[in-house]
Amino acid sequence: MASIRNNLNHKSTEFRKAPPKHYEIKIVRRKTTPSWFMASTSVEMQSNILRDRLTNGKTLVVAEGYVFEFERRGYLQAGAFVPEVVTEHPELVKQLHEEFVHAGSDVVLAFTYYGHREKLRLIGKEDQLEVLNRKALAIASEVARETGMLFAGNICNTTVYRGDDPDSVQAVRDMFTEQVVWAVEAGVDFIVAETFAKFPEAMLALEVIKEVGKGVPAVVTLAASGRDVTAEGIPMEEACRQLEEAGATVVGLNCCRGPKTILPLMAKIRKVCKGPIACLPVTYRTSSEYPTFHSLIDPGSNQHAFPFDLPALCCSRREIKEFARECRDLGVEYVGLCCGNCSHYLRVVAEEYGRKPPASKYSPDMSQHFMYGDKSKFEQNSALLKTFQNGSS
Amino acid sequence: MLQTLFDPGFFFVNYPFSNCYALPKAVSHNKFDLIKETFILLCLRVQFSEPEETKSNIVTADHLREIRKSRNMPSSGRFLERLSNGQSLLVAEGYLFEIERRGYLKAGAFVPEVVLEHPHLVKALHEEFVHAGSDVVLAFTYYAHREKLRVIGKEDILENINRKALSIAKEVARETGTLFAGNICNTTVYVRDDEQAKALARSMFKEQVEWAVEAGVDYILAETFDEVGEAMLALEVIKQYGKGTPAVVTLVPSARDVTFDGLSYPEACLRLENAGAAVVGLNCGRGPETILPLIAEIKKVCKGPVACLPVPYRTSCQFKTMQSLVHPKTGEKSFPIDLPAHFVGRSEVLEFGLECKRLGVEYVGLCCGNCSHYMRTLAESYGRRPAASRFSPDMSQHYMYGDKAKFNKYNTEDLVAAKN
Repeated sequence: MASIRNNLNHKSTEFRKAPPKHYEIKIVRRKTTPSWFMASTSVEMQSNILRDRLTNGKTLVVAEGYVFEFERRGYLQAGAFVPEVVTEHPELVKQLHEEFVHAGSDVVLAFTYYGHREKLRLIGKEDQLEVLNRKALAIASEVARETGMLFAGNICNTTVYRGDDPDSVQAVRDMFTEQVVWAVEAGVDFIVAETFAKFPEAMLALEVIKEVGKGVPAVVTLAASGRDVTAEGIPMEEACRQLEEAGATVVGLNCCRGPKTILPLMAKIRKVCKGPIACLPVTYRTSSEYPTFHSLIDPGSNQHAFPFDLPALCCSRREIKEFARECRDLGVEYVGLCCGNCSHYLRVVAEEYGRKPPASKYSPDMSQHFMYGDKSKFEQNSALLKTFQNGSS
Repeated sequence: MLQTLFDPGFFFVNYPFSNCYALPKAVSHNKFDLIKETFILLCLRVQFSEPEETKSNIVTADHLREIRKSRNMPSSGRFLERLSNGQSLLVAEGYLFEIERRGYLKAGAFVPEVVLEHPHLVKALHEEFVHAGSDVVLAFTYYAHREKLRVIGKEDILENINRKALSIAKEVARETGTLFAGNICNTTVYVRDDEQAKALARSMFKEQVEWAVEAGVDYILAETFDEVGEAMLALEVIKQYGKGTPAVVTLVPSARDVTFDGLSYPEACLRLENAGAAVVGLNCGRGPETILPLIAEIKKVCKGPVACLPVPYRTSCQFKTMQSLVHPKTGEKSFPIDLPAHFVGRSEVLEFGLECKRLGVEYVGLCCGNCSHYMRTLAESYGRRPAASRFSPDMSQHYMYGDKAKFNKYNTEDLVAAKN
């Protein structure tokens, strides 16, 4: 593990100590796993695009936050949070995928979060389930192909999982199965199974991906509540370790916690997990007093900010930059941002991870500002600046 | 009170919907409780009903569009008629900051090169703002003037970028039946006693006004002026070369209560109104809390419509403008990179909108930092129901915070407790 960590901080192209075995062929992009691969019983022996993309110090920057961003743009309803925009304005979904790639995302994540049977039933649109999933996958597939990025499927917390109720467990299993099958048919490179507060639900998702996923690798991330344990009381790092052992290629945390409160948990996870780990916080200012964005109190009103007043608690770009740097130093290979993400934040993360995405062309250059800029260029405006700062004088 | 709102029994058995339109008598004295309840009620109202016409001068945007389409009026007539009947105009600005946020525009020079590089994104943002309630499609020519293009070494694209921006905006305005506005702004070369600088500023205004008039704008917005001198010059140019196109002229309020050339804002606005501006007021610089006192003063002296377009950031008496805001942890200036840390919540936008309506502000909107969810909130505070209201929050559907009858206690109580 020490050797992996040492490799992370430089961009060497050294291979691992043992030469690659014949079945560890590096493949850039494949849609289906050949049948002779399926003969091997161990998951590690199968071709794994995702793992290949994360060995030898390589990293992945992953944009999430589609639900919140469309809610912000007025095309998705807070409450149920269902991505109806996929069928209503597919061109806007395509644009946001492109925008996130432009800002540095290595992955185009199909917009099927909360596009599952239970959520559609809730809003009375269960009949659109398959259409919505297939459409979201098609849009993401198109953008991934055009931009050369990875194409990922997405399943998530069902909100109806009850471990002690076999009917509930079966229903959840069916929900995962249908979404995984559609994703595999669309040709995803890997599947993200995320935002699980309940450990057995996460394990069930992974099981389904292994069963019907035809070898497609899985990223499984948990949503950490205010306590450092799952809903069942298992420490987060132990839960991640178990998921890794059960065959998830990447494990970690997403959502709920902001940069400040997710990092301490990531440090613990780094210590116990051998493979790549994932970190995708929400972009809000959580703290030890208010560890999740559900708990955040708006200081102005002393009320819960979630969800209407969360903008008042956004991180600054500087905080996102610090977060990304700490992740990189910790050795997080799969990094991104969840709810609250947008391009200017993602670009910052990508740049900290050594990238220079197209959006870097538009990174700030305040020397060009007519008030703050290079004084030799903008002499007459420095007096003007004073009138805007700190009250009358 | 909030708990009972989510109880279906409260609605369906004891209280018919019409009672929900009335503001509840507050149980607590906390004004934010009141705002939140109003917000929730407004959301419920837009969810479950058509908006009432409580006053003759507040109508739905759709209704207004029908009126406009059915009449064949010249462009300027449309704008003036709108304002003369006591109707209000909702205006989305903030294109620069929003495109910067999306990674297609550079902070610093802040030039809208995106107009030529990704015109479809500009079109999409116009459409998004109309969807969220804007009555106006503002051509994206802010800082697309000669001086800014010179700074980034692209003076040669000046005419192209202006004409392209105007044509994109015109297309969306025609498709949606909204008003089409041209946009000129602070030149950054104007110097009070320097005749050469003034002549340069005048020529910059002239070329942009002429392109706007040729494109057929309904009115021209001249905005973000630090001093009355420059604002008057812009207005003069619109009068001289605008072929009768009406002008909206707004100043940017600094941290002081006077313009850069020493006039109080009410006085400055009155001068501009007397010189022929159809609408006068303030935009940018200050947030809702610190712009409102100035607007109240302006409303007292000006006879015609008044404009108010703050930045949606939490300015205060201590930090009156977005340029003075400091990062709460580091104490360093937040402008511009760390401004996300100072956003207002939607409740504050609602409060701002209600206050503007109470003051009688006819031309209202949001400037840098604006985005659709704020715009929709503002529109709803003015009694509108834009297309985006279909997506106004309905937290009764949330699996943790929602209607307890629909969701499992496992989520609504246990999980909520765990996440706090």
